[in-house]
Amino acid sequence: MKHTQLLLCVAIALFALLGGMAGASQSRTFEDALKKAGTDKAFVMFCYGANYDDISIKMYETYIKKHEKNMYRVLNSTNYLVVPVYQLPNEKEKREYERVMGKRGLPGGIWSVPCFAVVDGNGNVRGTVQAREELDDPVKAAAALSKLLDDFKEQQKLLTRAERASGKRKEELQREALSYTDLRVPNHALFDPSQNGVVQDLQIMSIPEANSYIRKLLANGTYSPVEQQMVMAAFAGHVRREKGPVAMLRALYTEMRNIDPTSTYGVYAEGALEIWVEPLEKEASSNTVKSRENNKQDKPAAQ
Amino acid sequence: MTSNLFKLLAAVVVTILAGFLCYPLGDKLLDVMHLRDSMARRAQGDVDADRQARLKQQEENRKLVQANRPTRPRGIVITDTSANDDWQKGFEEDDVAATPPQDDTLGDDGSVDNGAERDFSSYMLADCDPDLVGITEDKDAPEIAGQSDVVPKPPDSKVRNSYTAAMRKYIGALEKADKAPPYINPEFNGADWKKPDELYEKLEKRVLAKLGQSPTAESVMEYMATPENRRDLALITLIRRAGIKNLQEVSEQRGGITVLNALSSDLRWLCNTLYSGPTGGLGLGLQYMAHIFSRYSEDITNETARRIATTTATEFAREGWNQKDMMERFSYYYGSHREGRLNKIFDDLAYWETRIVTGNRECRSWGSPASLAWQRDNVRLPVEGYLGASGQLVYRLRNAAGDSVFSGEYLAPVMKRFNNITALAHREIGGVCGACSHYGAYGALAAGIPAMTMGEPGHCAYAVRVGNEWKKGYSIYWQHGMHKTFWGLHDWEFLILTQDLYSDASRTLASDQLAAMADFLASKRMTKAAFNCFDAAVQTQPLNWPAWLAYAGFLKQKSPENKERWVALCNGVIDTLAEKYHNVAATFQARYIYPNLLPLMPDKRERNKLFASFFKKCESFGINRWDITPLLNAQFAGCKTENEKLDYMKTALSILMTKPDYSGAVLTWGLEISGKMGETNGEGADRFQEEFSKLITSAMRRMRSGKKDRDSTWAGLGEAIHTAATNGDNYTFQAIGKLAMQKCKKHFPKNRFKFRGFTGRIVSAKGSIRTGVTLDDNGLKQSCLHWGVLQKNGGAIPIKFEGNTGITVKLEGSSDLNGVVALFDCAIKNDRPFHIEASEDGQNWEDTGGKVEIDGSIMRIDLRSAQASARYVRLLREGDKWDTGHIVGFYVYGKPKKNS
Repeated sequence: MKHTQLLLCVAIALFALLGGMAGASQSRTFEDALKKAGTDKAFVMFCYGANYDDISIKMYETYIKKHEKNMYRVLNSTNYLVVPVYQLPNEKEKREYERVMGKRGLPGGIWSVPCFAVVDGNGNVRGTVQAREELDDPVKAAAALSKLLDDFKEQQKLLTRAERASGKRKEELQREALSYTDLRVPNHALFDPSQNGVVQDLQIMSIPEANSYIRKLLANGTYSPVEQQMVMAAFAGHVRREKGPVAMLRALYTEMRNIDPTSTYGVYAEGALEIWVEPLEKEASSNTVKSRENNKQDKPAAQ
Repeated sequence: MTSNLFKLLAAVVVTILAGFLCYPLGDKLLDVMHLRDSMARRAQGDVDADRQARLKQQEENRKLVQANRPTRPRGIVITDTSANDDWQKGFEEDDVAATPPQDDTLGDDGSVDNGAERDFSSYMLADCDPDLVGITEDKDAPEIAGQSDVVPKPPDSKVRNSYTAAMRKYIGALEKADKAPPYINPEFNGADWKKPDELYEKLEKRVLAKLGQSPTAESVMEYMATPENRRDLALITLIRRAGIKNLQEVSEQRGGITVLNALSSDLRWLCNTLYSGPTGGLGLGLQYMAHIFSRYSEDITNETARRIATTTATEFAREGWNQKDMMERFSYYYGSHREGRLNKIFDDLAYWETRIVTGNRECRSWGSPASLAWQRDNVRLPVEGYLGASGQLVYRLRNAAGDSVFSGEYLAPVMKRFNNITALAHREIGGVCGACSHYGAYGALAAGIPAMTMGEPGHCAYAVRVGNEWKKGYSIYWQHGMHKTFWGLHDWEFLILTQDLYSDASRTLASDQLAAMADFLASKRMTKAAFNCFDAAVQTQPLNWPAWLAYAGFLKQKSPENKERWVALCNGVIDTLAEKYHNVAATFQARYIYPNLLPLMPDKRERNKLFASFFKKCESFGINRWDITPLLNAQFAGCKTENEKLDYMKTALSILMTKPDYSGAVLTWGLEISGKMGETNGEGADRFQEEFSKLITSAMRRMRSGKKDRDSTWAGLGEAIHTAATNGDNYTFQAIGKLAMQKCKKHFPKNRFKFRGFTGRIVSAKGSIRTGVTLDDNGLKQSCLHWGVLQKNGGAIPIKFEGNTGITVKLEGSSDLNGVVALFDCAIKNDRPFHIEASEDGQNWEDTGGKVEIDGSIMRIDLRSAQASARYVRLLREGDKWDTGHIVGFYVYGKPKKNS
C-alpha cells in the first residue's frame, strides 16, 4: 500500500513538473481552451475514437498517456485538449463528451479520427494532422504538429499586421499569410474558378482575351498558391479545349506546377503535362519529320 | 507524517533528474521537421499499368464475367455440365482468367435425359427471379399414395394451432444452440466428398427414413429440433444448391477437401453459409472458398477468417465477379481486421451483414483495395459520422479546369499520380452527387460498416446502417433504388425487410430450414408434405420473402389453377406481411399472385373485395413512401371490359382518396391512365376518357381538407398537378389548380404585381406550365403554385435554364402572340441572352426573335414585330446552367385563333 502511494506521488510530481517546465497545460473543456487561446494563440485538440477504434485507442495510449512528456515538449507552451469521440454513445459516454465539448459537435475540418487539430481562439480548425502516414509514426506526427504550430504563429503575426495595414501592403501581408499551405485562413473562402464564374466567363473568350483576363485576375486578387493554380488550371483547360498552341499549354502547366509542385494542383499540372501536352508534342514532332521526309521525296519529283 | 513528507521530497528530486534525462529525446523530436507533405505528394508514385489499358482490361473482364455468368433456368432442369469444363482451365495459374462456370442450362422441353447427370443447382431457394421458379423433381422418386401430386387444402387456424407447440420447441432449440458451442460432427471425409452423389443418396435415405412416408409440419419440426438432423438437411441443401458436378470439382481443387470437411462438420458454419442470404452460384462460391483457404490454410479454424471468406466468396460468386477481385477483397478485409484497422462494429457482424460489406460493388474503383485502404485510414469516423462524410467532397459539376464530371478529363491528370485511388482523387478535385455518395458509403464500407449507395430520381444518395437502423445520407427524394440487394428488389422497404428478417435470427433460421425441407420433399414428389412445410415456413417467419416466393413457385408448378390456394396465399401475405411492409406485400401480390389468381376470378366484386382488404391495411405509407402504381396497374390489368375498369377505378379511388398519404399518388395514377386513354383513337375511347376524367374530378373532391389534412391534400394535389402538366393536360391542370385554391387558399401568395403588359388578352391563364427542374419531395408538394404563376396573384415555379431546358407553357389554344412578361423572385442573371421559342406541337420549336428587355426581376419580351403564332411557348437562356430562383408570374399576351 505504501509502495503504491509512493509510486503515485512520483507520478503526480513528474506530471506536474514536466508540464510546468515545458509550459504546456491541458484544458478540461473546449470553452476553457478557447479562453486560454485568446485572440492570437492556438490550442491543440486531440480527438480520438474512444469506443470503436483500436488505432485511436492505441494512439491515445501512445501520445497522451505513455509518452505524455514528449507531447509536452512538442506542444511547447501550447495548451491542449483531449476529446473522446464515441460511437453510438451510452448515457455515460454522452456525459463524458459533453463535459469536454458541451453541446458542440466537433469543429469543421476534422475529417478523420484520431486527429490532432490546431484550433484558434475563435474555434476555427486551422490545421490538422490526421493522415495515417503521419499518425502511424510518432516522430513524423510530432514533427508535423510542431511545424503546424510554428507556422500558425508566423501566420497569425502576418494576419494581425495585415489587419492594421491598408492598401497594397495589406494585400501583400494577406498573400503571405495564405502562402502557409497547410493552414487555413479564417474567413477566407476558397476562390474556386468553377464556382466563382471564371470557367463560365472563359467559355466565350478567345485565347488572347482569356489570357489578359486571367493575368489581370491574378494580379489584382489575394489568392493562396492553390487558388492561383486553380485559376491557371481554368485557363489551361480553356486553351486545351479550344485547341490552342501546344507550347502555350506547356508553358501554362509548367507555370502552374511551379507555384507549388506538391499541392494537388501541382500534381494535376504534372499529370496534365504527361497526358495532354507530351502526346501533342510527339505528334507535332512526328508530323514535322514526316513533312520533311515528304519534302525530300517531293523535291526530286519536282526536279 | 514526517516520513511521508520526506518521501515526497525524494520523489521531487527523482523527478527533476528524470526530467533532465528526458530532454534529449524531446529535442530529437523537435529536430525532425518538414515531414508533413500534402496528401497529394504522399500519394505520388508510379503505377505499372497505364490507366487506359487498365480500363480496357476492366471492361474486357466485365464482359467475360457477364458472358459466363450463371443464368437462371426456369422450370424443371436436369443438366449435363460436362461440356462446361473449359472455364476451369488456368484457374490456379491465373486469377484473372478465372471466370464463373455456366453451372446449369435449361433443357428445351424440361424433360429428363437418362444419360444426364443430376444437378440441383437450378433451384436456389433464396434467390429471386421475376418469374416464379419450380422445383426439380427426382426422376427416381417413387409415387406415394396420398402424398405425390396431392395438393392439400390450405391449412386453417386449427391446423396451424396444432403445430404451434412444436414450432416453439424448435425455435427454442435453435436459440439454445446459438448460445452453445457449435455442433461438430466430422462424419464425412474426403472420400465422401469425392463422390457427392453417393453421399447425397446416403443422406436422403437417412432423412426420409426418419421422417416417414407422410410427414406433417409438426413431425418435421420435431425432427428438426435435433442438431444431427439439421446437419443432415443442411448437407442435402448444400449438395442440391451447389450441384454435384461443382462439388466434385471443388473436391479435386487444392484446398477443396479441407474446406468441405471443415464446413460439413461444423453445423453453425454450414447454416451461416446456406441461410444468410441468397446462394446463387454456390458451386463457384465453394471453389472461391477453397481458393482462399488454400492460401490461408492455417486460418481455417479462425471464426473471423471463415466469416470473411464465406461472405466474400458467396457474394462474388453470386454476382459473377472474378476470382482475382475476390481474393483482393478478402485480403483487404481480413488483413485490415488483423491489423485492428476496422471499426469495432465489424467484429460483431453476422454473416448476412458481412455480405453487404465484403460484397460491396465497384471492385475496380471505389471498392478497389487501394481506395478502400485509403478511406479506411483517412476517413475514420464513428458510424453516424459517415452519414455526413459526403460533405468532405466539394460539389463541382465542372472541375477547376472546366472539365465536366461526366468526361474522362475530370480526374485524368491526377489518377495515376494518386495511385488510382478514386476516393482521394475525388476528395482533391471534387465531384457531384454520385462521387459524394460513394465517398460516404465507401468510407463506411472501408471501415467494415454495412452501407450502400442508392439511386434517386436525378440524384445519388446512400445509406449507412447505424445500430440496427438504416439511415439515409445525402438523400433528397423518397424514391430510393438500393444498389446492393439480396433479392434483386431495390426499394427501401426491402432493405428494411432484410434487416428485420435477419435480425430475428432463430425464427428466420427455422423458417429457412423448413423451406429447405419443403424443397427437398418436393424433389421426392412428396407434394403434400412439401406444401405443409412451405406453409409452416412462412408462418414461422412471415418476413421470409424467399420462402414466400418459393411457396408461390411451387404452387404455380403443382397446381396453377387452384384458386383456393392462391386466395389463401394472397390472404396470408395480407394478414402478415402487409401489416407493416405495404410495399413488399404489394409487390408480391402484383408480381406473383395477381397474374395467376385474377384469371381464375371472373367475379369483379370478389376481386374488388380482395383488393380492398389490402388497401385497408394501408392507412399510411408505412416504413417509407412507396410507389403504388405497379399494384394498381396489376389490379387494373385484371379488368377485361370497360365497365369492369370503371368499376375498379371507382373502388380504388373511393378507398384511397380518403387516405391522405395515397390520395396524390392514386390521383396521379388515374390521370396517367386517363392520359393513355386519350392517346387511343376511337369514339369509345373518348367516351371512356370522359368518364374517367369525371370520376377523377369527383374523387378529388373527396380529399380531406380539414386543418389536420390540409398539408397532405396540398401535397397530393401538387403531385397530381405536376403529372397533369407533364401530360400537357390543360383541363386537369386547371381543375386541380382551382381545387387547390379552394381547399388550400392559404398556401397561395397574394401578390399585386406592377408591370407593363402588352395588348391583347392573357392566353396563358387557362394553360399549363412546366419547368425543367427535377422536383424533389418538397418541390412536388409545392407544384400547385405552378398554376398560380399563370394567374394574376402569382405563384412560384423553380427555374432551370440550360440548353433546351427552360420554362414551357402550353397555351389554352393556338394564338397570335404579342408579348410575354416573366416575373422572377430574384434579379435576373442577364449575362447571357434569353429567347422565346414558339411551337405548334411542343416538339418543333422556332426562335421568335422577340426583343428582350430586363429590368431587375422583370423580363418583357416584345413579340409584336415577330408575328409569331403558337400553341406552346418556351423561355430559354444561352450558356451555362442557371437554376437559382423562381418565376412568380408568367403571362403570355395575344389573341386566340378562332379555329384552334
